[in-house]
Amino acid sequence: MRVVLYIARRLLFVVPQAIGISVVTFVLVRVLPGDPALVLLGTNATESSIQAVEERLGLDKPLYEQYWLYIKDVAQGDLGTSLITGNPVREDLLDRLPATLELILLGLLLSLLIGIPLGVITALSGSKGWPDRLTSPYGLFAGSIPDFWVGLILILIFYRYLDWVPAPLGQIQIGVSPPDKITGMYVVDSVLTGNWEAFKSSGSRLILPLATLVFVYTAPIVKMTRSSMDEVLNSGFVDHFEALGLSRRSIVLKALKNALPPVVTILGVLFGYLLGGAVLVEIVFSWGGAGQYAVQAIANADFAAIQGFVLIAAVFSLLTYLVVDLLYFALDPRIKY
Amino acid sequence: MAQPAVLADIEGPTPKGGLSRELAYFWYFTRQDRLFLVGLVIVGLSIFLAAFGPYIGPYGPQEIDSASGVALTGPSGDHWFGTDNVGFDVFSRVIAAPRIDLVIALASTALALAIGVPLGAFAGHFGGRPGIPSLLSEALLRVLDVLQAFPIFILALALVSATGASQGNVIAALTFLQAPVFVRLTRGAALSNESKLYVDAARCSGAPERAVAFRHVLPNSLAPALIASSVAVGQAILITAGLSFVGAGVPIPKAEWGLMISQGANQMILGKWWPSLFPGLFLGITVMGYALVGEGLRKFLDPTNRI
Amino acid sequence: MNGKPLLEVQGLVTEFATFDGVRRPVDGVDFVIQEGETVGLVGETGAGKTVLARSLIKHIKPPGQIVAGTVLYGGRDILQEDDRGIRAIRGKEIAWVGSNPRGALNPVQRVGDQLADVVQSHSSVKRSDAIARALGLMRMVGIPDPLRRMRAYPHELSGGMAQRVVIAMALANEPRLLMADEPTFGLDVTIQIQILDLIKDLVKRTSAAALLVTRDLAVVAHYCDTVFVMQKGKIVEKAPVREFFSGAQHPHSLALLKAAFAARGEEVA
Repeated sequence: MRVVLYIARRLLFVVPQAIGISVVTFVLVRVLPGDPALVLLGTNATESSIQAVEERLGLDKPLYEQYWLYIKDVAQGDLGTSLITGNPVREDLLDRLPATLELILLGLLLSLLIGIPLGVITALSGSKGWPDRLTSPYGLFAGSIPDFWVGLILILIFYRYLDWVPAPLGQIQIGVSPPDKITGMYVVDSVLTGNWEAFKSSGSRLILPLATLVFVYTAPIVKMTRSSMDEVLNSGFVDHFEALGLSRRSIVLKALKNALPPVVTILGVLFGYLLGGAVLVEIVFSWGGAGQYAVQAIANADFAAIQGFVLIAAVFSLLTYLVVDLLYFALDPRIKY
Repeated sequence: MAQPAVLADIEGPTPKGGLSRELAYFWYFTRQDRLFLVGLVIVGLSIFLAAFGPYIGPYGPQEIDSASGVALTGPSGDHWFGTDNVGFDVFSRVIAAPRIDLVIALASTALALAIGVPLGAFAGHFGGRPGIPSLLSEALLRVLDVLQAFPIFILALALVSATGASQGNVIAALTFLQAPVFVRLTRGAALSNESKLYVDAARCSGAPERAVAFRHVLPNSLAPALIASSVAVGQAILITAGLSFVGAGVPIPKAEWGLMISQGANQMILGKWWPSLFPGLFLGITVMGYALVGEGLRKFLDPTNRI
Repeated sequence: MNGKPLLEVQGLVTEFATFDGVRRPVDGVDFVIQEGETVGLVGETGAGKTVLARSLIKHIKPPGQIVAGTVLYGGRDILQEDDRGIRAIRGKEIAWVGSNPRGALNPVQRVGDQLADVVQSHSSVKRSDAIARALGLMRMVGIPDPLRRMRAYPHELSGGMAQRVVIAMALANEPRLLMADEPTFGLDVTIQIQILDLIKDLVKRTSAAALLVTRDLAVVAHYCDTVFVMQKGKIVEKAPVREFFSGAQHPHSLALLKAAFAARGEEVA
């Protein structure tokens, strides 16, 4: 009951935020340079053909009317047509989002599985223990370098010199047919359909971009887990339970639950950031995901595509923050609904 | 455990007071925290290179030496870090880049601080009271909520493409993206200070509202933003590099780390690593330096660390 | 009190390294606590009472350090015990009640579960038995409607109720010595008396000894057999409670007494 009320109240916040997002997305695209009519028609456009296209796209109407049309379309799931690919933006994004999500979700999952234990071990051994000597320099280094540079270095070592992985050219080898589409994520789908040829090809190509993300984004998770754990270990109740002679193990297990909420937050922040930020890694590995699509769209003044991507990304992060809040609620009984 | 309080009355060496004590503690702290010292050195060097980097390299940042300026030669005595795909000297460009990267990062962070801190203090001071200022600060927060939902890199990319790829526009976009962080931090600190007893005490003893705001709340609310600003400088450098990497930041052929990495990216597969490796390394070390200073400042300013 | 020594402390020194130099909150302390005896440890804020009490169970964290002395308990020196050995003593032989009950409980775990954890920490009983024992303890410390309170979170309890839970934890494993560090700090006066009565009653029932750290001489007069007066890291006077109030010797004891009686508008004899 408490949960239902909380979700309901939290969802109420989502509505104005979603409206705000649609306004920003709309305005953002209006201020972008480049005339979409010109992009469509090319350089041999005439005055009248430009006018015709502008009319078709609704660009001749006043702004508020354009916004209203935009909202109506979005509500019906119509994100417009990409000027560059000629496809509906919705189709384009549905084709490309799974590739990006596969990379980000697997990357964050692995980062979490590595980062939380590392953070806990570091917190437990204190600032003079050997784990700190390892994780502190690593965190410092990984937190300071650009992810795309890490990707390039990994390519140099593992493709060029060691030749352990295939060339960084997309999600699957040309000539290997992708697995039947279920989620759209090649590795996941090839496992689900038992397509081992596709699994071998897509899996081996996923290794380096995944390793890039894991190397860079495990660092903030380690750091947050460690500092959060440090704080809990220094809190009154841990002191009290130590004074009562509770075992180290049982105290640590308890403290871990208390230390989790900030880790959940950083996870949400990383996911939101990577939705757009993974584009740099995508480019390095010619991944062909949604991020790369957005960069192309921006370079070509492809209004509808930019709008579509930014809108979807913003909605995704809105949902992420919602999930983060719900997890907080589950982890901390002090939060009131 | 209130151990510091327990210590308070025990006789020991008499504490030194005032500025000389602060300086003595800073010196003590810096010697004890070697990483902070390393950070200070890196920050100092980066500022030195931002001022003089373009002039002290063996070649100009955009100069092709007539004798040795062949494209993509490996590191050698003539070219310590090799040459890039145009024939520019990588070392000269790497040490010239802070002129662009640091100016962008420092300027955007300073501007974001200048905008974000007053707004945050305003929102923190007036938040939760009746009246128009409170409504304004509430509206400000809702707008920030919405902005927070957008993927920061794509937003930066869109902003810079909207205004055109140039140094000034990158600074403007980064300022816009970083200011909300400072608003939040300062607001949070101000809010928590507003509810502290010493602020109540100041009010009860008849201090005018302006004095409460400027003498008690504001100075005690600055630390989080100041500490975060060194991280923000690092973030700004990383985002600038990312923008240039996708061709939306600083235009070719300027000496900028992200652009240099991007120019060398295609050579990586071919085993020509020097045009990308060195700029990335220097970028990383610089960002690390600012992170170390931020971490050190946090510890230095935290009074509970002073026991 | 049967005159058999339970805890013997000799030459105890605890230091804290600070930027302004080394401080000694405990500076060469000797005393004996007899079995079943209730000792009041009094002194001003900053006299080193809390650090002394924590030192007895080797519960001092950096930058603090116990640098000298012995704490003999049952023929063993507690200060020489390793982690495992010290854990077997804490909570089982010597238990602790602090001054901030709500801070002493895990905010995200149900009270009953925490109590059961404490039960299980020193005896290998099944979870269901530990829960049953926890319920019994809640009843023993006089918590009304204990079955429902078992499922409460600490923030849902009043300060006095939370302190009762903390006392239940301290007594869960029937310790021989209960140390209570200003257990009534921040509680209402009426609740203070209830809590102190509860401690006294339970200590008597289990014939355990107690070390009551306090600044309140009235509490000492009411609840203690013996008084230790602490000043600047040293114990300056040890006396049975009657003798102390009729003829304290040390100037600092007199000063404390004078202050206490002045507050009540009386004169010291």
